[in-house]
Amino acid sequence: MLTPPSATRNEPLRPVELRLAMATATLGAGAAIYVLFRSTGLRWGDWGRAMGLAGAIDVARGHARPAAAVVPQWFVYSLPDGLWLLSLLIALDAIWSAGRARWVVRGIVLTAAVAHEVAQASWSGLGTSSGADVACYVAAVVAAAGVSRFGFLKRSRR
Amino acid sequence: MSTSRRIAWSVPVVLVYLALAAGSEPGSQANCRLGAISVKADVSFRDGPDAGYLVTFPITNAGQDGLISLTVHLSTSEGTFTREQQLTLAAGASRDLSYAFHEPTINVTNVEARVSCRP
Repeated sequence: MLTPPSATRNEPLRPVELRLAMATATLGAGAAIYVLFRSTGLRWGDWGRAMGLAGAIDVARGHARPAAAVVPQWFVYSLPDGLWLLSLLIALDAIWSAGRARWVVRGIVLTAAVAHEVAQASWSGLGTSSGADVACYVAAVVAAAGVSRFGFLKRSRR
Repeated sequence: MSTSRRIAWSVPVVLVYLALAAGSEPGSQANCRLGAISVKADVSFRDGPDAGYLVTFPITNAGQDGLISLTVHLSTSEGTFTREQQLTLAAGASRDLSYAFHEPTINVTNVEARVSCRP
């Protein structure tokens, strides 16, 4: 029986591990944007203070202050949502790695994201809806599809 | 992986993202206002009399009911000492707060207090 090439050469990162690492990285990137650039008057700021992290948050925001003056609005207000959607899609794809259930899970996540945006557009109390949010969601879906395909190719080679 | 295990893995993942969504909502709508800060030498009793300093100041919540975070720093020739506290204040409520610092010795100089509050 022929052995797939990847099993005899250097072992590549397994797709599930790779995707979970990417999910963690994109989640962290979105969180970092919040910590560095978003208002500490949001609930996460209360949580950070309650955890005794106010000093560390202040230091980090102090270092980011020069960048805060030049980063575009969409980077601060829309990109974190896109990164978190991407992270969620990658993580759930890694867990629901095959079959029809994966498509059901993807559908639920995307429906929730779209419903959230529609709700924001309809009721002002739920935040602000923007075209940049939608663009970031679309980019996240495209990127998640790319990651999913990459994982599939890795698996099929082994 | 069985469907039940997949569900078991999915639940904490989804909870993390719900927490992120909750964290991006507006937090406490309180609005703290500090009054004049006073620092005076004080003797507290902790295993006997212990010389130190007492920092006092009034605080008012000019916003809605909510959580206020306070940090009090006492800067001295012997180092900087800090107290932190979370207080829930009703809209328009005021309180006189005091924080005892017993760390400085009787030889301390250059004593200065700073107080910050959020939001």
